[in-house]
Amino acid sequence: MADKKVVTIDDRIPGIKEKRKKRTNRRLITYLSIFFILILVVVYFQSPLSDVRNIQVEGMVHVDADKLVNQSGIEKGVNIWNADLSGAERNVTEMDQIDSVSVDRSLPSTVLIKVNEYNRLAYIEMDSGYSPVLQNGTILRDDVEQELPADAPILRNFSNEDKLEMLTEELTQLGEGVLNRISEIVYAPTDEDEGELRLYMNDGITVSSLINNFASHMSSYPSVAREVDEDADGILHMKMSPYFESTEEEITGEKEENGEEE
Amino acid sequence: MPPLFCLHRSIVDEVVYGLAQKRKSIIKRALLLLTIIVLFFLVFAGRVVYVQVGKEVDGQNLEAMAESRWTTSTTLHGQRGTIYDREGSPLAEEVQSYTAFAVLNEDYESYVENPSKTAEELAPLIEKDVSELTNMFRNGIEEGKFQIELGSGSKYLSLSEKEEIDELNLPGIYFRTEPKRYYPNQEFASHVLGYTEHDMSEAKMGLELELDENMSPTDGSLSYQRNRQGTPLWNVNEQLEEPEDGEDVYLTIDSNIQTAIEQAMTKVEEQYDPNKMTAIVANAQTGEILGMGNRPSFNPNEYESITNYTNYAVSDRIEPGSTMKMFTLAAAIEEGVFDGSDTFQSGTYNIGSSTIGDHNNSQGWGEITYDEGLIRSSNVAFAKVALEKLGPERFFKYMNKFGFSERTGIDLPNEANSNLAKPTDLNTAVTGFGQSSAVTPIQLLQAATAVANDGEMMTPYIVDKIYNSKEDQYSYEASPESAGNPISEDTATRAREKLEKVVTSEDGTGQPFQIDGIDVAGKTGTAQISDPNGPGYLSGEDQNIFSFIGMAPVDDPSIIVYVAVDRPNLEDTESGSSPVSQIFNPVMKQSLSYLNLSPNDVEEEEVYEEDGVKAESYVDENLDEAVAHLEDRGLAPLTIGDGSTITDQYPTAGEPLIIGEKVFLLTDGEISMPDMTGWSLRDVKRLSTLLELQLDHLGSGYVTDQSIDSGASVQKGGHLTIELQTAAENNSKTKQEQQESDEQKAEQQRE
Repeated sequence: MADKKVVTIDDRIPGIKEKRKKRTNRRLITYLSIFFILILVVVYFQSPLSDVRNIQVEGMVHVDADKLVNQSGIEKGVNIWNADLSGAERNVTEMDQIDSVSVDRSLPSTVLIKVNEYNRLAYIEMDSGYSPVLQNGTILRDDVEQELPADAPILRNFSNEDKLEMLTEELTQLGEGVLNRISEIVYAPTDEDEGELRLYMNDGITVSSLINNFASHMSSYPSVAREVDEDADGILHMKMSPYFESTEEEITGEKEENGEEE
Repeated sequence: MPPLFCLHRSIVDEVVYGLAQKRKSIIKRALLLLTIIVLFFLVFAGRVVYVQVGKEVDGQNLEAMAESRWTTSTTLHGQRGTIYDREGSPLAEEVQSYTAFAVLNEDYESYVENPSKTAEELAPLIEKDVSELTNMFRNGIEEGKFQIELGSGSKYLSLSEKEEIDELNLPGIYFRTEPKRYYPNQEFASHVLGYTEHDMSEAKMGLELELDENMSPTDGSLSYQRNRQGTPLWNVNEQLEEPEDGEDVYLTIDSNIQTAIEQAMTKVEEQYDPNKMTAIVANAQTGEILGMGNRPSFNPNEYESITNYTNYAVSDRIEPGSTMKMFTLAAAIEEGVFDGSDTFQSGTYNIGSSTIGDHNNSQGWGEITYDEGLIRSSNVAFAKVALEKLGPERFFKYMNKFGFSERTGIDLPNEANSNLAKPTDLNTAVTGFGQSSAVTPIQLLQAATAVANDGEMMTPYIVDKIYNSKEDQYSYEASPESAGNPISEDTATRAREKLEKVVTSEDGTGQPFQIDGIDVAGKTGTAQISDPNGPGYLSGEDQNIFSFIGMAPVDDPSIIVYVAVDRPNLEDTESGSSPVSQIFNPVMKQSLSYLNLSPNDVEEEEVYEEDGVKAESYVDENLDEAVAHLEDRGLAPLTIGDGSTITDQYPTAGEPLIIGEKVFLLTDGEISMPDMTGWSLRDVKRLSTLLELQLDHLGSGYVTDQSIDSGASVQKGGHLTIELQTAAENNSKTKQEQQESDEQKAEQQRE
């Protein structure tokens, strides 16, 4: 009888018991999942899962991809979260040829290096090959191309360093459309002017110009060149005021007076 | 133990009784308390329930009051549509404007401290008297006003005007911003555009009024709730009704041509002070109105000073005078009754009791041909053509065909209708040279498109398209519309030939309209004006409307210009066509030069710039299309391989190229080596990069020799060697060869 009278509250209100059970279960699940998630996190960081396995390079034209990766200082096998991305950006930017660079993680295990190289204004012909002149005027003397690339004109006969520097400075200011038209620029100093240049253009016109104000002299080339008869032999002088000096008389031996055209 | 029990019971009873008594009273008291509390509670609860249900206290709606406390509503202003010219420059737009006001209250952070000094500096900038402004400040301060407005001159100031006032650093002068309608070109096609009130509350005139429904915006609203501090609670019952901007209107008006019109008209207005003037420029082939001007005109930014509300070009009806002869002529040619070499007696012509005289005081020029009659603008000639050759019925049939009997339907408001005379004999003869019947300038222009556009008359229009920014599409797009073919192509050509003589002939009345380098055909007009005070016409040399309708170039006119100048003050020696030509000539010249520069030419121009055009990618495209596209842009495509689809190209997309640059297109077929003689080193290098050839090169200049012959098939990865020579080397070489061969010849001869 006495036993019967002692009835726990739990028994009397079954709802509360249910509730309590549920609450305990839920709490247990929460603690357990936190625990397992923590374990997974530890496993991820300790295992090769978080290592850099790929280093991708995009946007390079002339620079060797391996060289870029070396320069960046990022190595495979380093934890991807430990890799010094901003340091890598600094390292790569130090290279002469690189205009800008961005280094990003591309999860799960790739580091993506996007570079933007300086365009090349010209290649200087040297004994050992062709050394590029960059958009910012820098001449890469150590980075010589063995075979001639097609993306910029060649500079020949530039024995005079000062003149070369003056010309590269002018080239930076020249419109890219005109720059794309030039095939060769030969330094041909004369007694009259030390800065005399001889240009061979893609359209077959030979141009004579000067290093001083080269960019402004050449800027009107597109509209001047179309006035020049393609079949005419001669030299187009792109100086203060452009004119065409025909050499046809020399070939035919006739003395024609129509030597100059504008 | 019953007694004990009894006693016990009685004691117990006692106690129980006493207890019961006590309990009862306690219960009673408790009940009382309870009742009081319940009552109390009921009263308040009842009140609460009452308030809950009735939602009203002291006749105030609580819900509304509360909501207004925590909700704020802002009007979101929609923009009125912009009116653009044909190239997309705005002609009428909504801009931010500033209205100045003065704070007088001394408790405010800055206020007008020194009324007289402030007034002195501020007055000239807001078009006010210094003393008046000082008084306004003083009165305001006396009346204890917090702030005052500063009159109409301080309203709707532009940013630069506002900054000018800002620079004075006057304490207490503040600005509030308001949108206003602004016409950036000031006095510019004013009657076409019309105007709205500064605050755009009401459209008043022109296209602003006509297209008001399209351009008017729908204001939106944003209501949101705030907490006790007044900070907005975002996302809680936030109600946003987006404002809808009005539609943008694109006109066919060309700003360059319109500017030419305005400048020429302003000059003529200053010099001749005519009663009124109008000029219209239209595209002869489409009927697009490229420019339209009137004098007197007005500046829609200062519409308070407007004097003339009429767009003469469409809303004014005039007797056109001799310009009408153009259409009498065209009708007669079409009917085959105009023989230019036929002669007639000029001077006067009698119809019934009336006499028609030529414009040189009825003297005429003796017996002349009809062609000469046209050149000299003989009234007698065209009275005869209209009456005798065509006859009233046919003549008025052509008047109808040329659209003179109804409105043109141009999309401008208040178009006037013509007033053709009754087809009596006299009226036929007189209308034949442009009097007695009245037409509108736009009708004349429309009729002239038939002559200019090989017989097809084009309905003039000025609204090109209407753009709805919300739906991102054009809600209206105009297209050229034919208004019938009153005459044949042949007639139109012949009429133009004859009308060209009016301008080019020594005796032509249209001589002043000769423009160097442009062949103009047209007809002058000197119209008498009906006397407003009675029957007959005004008399006096300058009491006329002088006009000219001309088209150019004669072979295939692209532009029609109509100019009319009403009663200019002429010098004694001056002819009426002189002010007209001062408008017509520059406008026609400008119009032709600007029309020749179509947008398609712009890219072509770019290839002449030193930066060139960017190469596009042609990979996977059809060869023929790519070649055509490149040639269009002035580049030189060079196809490698005999396929029809492009697989690769050099220079690659994005490279800047100038006129004539070679673009190599590699196709999917068999690849053979082109002839590279004369190529530059760089072109060869480009080609070998594209074909993946190893290149060896010797010399400098241009190719003279190539190791893979032209036409030979090319394998990728192969070797190519070229030899280059400069022109000079080449010449000397050929010379040498020539010499050698000469010598050989000589030797042979010797032998």
